[in-house]
Amino acid sequence: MWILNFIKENVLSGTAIFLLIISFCLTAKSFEKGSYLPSLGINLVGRVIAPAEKGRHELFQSIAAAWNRYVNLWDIEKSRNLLFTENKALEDKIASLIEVEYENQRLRKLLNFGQSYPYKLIGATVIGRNSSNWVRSLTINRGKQDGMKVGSPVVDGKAVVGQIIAVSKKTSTVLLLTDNISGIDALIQSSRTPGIIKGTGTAMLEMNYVLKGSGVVVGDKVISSGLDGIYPKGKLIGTVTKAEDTVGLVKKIEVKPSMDLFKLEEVLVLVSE
Amino acid sequence: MFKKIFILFVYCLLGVFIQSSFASFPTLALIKPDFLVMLVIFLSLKYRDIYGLLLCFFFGLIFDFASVLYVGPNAASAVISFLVVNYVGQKLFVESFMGLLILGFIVSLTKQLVYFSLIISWIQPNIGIANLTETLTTSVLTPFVVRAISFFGKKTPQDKRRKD
Repeated sequence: MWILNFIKENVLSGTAIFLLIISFCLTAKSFEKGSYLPSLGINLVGRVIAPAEKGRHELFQSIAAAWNRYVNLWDIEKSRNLLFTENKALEDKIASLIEVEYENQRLRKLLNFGQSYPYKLIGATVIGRNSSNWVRSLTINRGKQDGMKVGSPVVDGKAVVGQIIAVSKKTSTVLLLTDNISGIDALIQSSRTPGIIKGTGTAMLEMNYVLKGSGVVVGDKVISSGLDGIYPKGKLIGTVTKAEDTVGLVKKIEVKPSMDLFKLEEVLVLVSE
Repeated sequence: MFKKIFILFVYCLLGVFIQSSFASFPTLALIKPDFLVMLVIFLSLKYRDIYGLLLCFFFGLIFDFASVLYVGPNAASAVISFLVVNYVGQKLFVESFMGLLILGFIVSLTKQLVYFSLIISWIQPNIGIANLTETLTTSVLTPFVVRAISFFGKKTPQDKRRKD
């Protein structure tokens, strides 16, 4: 009888302890490699939220387009001339780059190199951003039906953005390079010094395991090395903004990512063929 | 009863949608206020029993699923936040504007403490001024959001008795 009274008086505390134990177990399960919980999340909640996010995105795009079309008319003539000149210069550049491409293919054949870019490029639109301040992620409007796969690298045309971590039928979640658990094998473009780029949970990145005396200076470009087997070689990651010696053997290097997180609207997903 | 639960889950999904879509606007340094804290405060004040506790846990779980990465920390912090609201609710008159503001501040700090304590076993989170910014923006918005949800919510017999 006293047991029943005890349980009756402590139902709230007992239930709270039980729920905390479940939460801890779920957290531990999430951090396991290959855990199904992230995919479960995007399939349960993402399917409901994604249509609303798409609708919100399209509405904002329409409003922005209307604003640009009717309010900025006085700038159109100036922009048109500028774009015309730029277009001519780009056409010339494309022509010379095509030549370089052909030469590259001929030389590769000669040296018997394998195909260096076995990816299919799929464009996607960003329809949502991280719902929490402590998880840096994006939602894109491509899912399983478009060929998205967990682990596929994502770029914004010129720079690395991140990696797909969860896929539902119509949407996917991209973990940004700036998240705490993101990492990428990298090189300093000029000196070819290797290191590991790690997300810090803020807008900046840090490059670890770079030895003192490596000659890394502020302004150096950082690119992906391709050695991690995830990101292709040579993709721009960011620019070194701080390079200081520490008391140990390594340098403390801060890198500003080239992708502008807050202006990301379209991305490219590299899906392996 | 099922209608009530359905409406509460709609509030929760709306909170997730607002958190991911709009919440960059009313913020300092682009840190978003935490709508889960506001929902937990509303539920804890409305349902001070095991029903409220379970709802807070499930709402935390939904926010965890929405973040896609870690499942569990938001649920645990929602449970602790419920207990904190219950305790503070006995000491302060929390239904006033200032009371809700202070409650928002305390609960947001508690939630972040529990959240980071849980994940720190696996990763090194970056704790700094952003945490305080989130707490401040959340506490400022809490009275408005909680009162807005209460205004649109159906009155329970508990509320009617409280009013009488």
